[in-house]
Amino acid sequence: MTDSRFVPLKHIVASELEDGDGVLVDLKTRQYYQLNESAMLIWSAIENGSSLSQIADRLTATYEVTNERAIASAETLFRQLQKHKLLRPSE
Amino acid sequence: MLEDFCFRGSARAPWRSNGSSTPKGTRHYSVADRTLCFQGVDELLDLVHDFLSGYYFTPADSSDVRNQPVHLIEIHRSAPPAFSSDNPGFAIEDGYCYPDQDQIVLRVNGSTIAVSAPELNRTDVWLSDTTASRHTLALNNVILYAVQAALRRGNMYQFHAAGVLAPDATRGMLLVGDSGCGKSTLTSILIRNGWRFVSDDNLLLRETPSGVLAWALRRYFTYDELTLDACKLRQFPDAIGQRVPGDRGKIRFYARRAFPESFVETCLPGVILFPAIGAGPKTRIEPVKSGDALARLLRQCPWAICDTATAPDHVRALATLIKQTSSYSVVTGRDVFDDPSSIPGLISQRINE
Repeated sequence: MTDSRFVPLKHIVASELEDGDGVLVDLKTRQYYQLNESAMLIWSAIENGSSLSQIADRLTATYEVTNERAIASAETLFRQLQKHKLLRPSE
Repeated sequence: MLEDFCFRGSARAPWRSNGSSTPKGTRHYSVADRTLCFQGVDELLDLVHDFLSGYYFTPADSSDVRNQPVHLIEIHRSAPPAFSSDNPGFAIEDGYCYPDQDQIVLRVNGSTIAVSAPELNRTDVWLSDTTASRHTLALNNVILYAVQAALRRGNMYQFHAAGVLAPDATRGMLLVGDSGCGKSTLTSILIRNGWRFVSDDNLLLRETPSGVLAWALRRYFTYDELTLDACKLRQFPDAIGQRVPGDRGKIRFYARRAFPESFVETCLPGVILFPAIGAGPKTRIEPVKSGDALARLLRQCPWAICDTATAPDHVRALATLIKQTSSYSVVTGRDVFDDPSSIPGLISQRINE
């Protein structure tokens, strides 16, 4: 499970801002989503092809959280992003 | 009224083909280093010229633009071809948009606009000859949609905002918000207090190596009667123009005639303000987080999300604009209404803290 990877769908445009926040624009549904700093960190890691365990490592290195909490947070975001059809599991 | 009567029924619009072969004309216009080439019969090109004269489009000679990329907008007298798209489309103001890969087809006020993929530098417009479609407002609307789409394909984005510069500032301030939020009123107060201006409501954004620049797009400001009085603008009778067709409550105001030394064609924005009219006693100016600021810009720029061919670059330009600026919300209080001249000081003090 910790080796699972996701990829952003092609019709998503992501913009990261100076303070770490970001915005995702879905060109299919014409919706946009605001991501806070930690969510944007996870999105950037997904774009770079990182696995769940690698993303958790980045979160624990950046924030004061346990590995379990980092994995749980990343999984929650994966589910939300999948629900809105912004990413899919890597093949 | 008379025109409606004359063209009713099966009467043809003056530009419809009657079998004779009227030669097509070509006219070039430049704005912010981008050139648009309009092709069509002279009656149609005259309509385009009248419309563009309200904006900072400069007629250009074809020899002047030989080495520049030119976007062709051809205006047809014939019926449009059939367009097939799997996309059900979505509503836009006065019409519908049908994206199809890198092309978009717009049906606006009965007329059809096909905007080709960016690399083709081409937009085709088929004007409808129904009475409603022939109305000047409808035609202007069609031309505006075509021009905006053509400019987007040159990485230039129409932006609903005012642009001003403080007296000694090197970077500009954009006032962003819906109609009625106080952009034009605030702009006029700032100008009367020595600020310079780019526009009260209509800008063109362009990403350059040194950042996103804002260019003046529309030549005139628009005010209602009350604001003209409140801002003491009637003392410039030469600057007051005609009522705005389609919005009779608004009057055109040519600010460059009233304040010729205060106009600047372009600026590099350093601050974004989101004004709103409040009911409290004091004006509040608060920082806006960058993610919220970008979301607000996206709400003002629907084509950044809807024109799929240009959306990635458009979103990136807006994100760059947010990165190069500090954003604030300004909720005006009664203090500003009691003493309008206090607002420039309030703004300058808060954003320099």
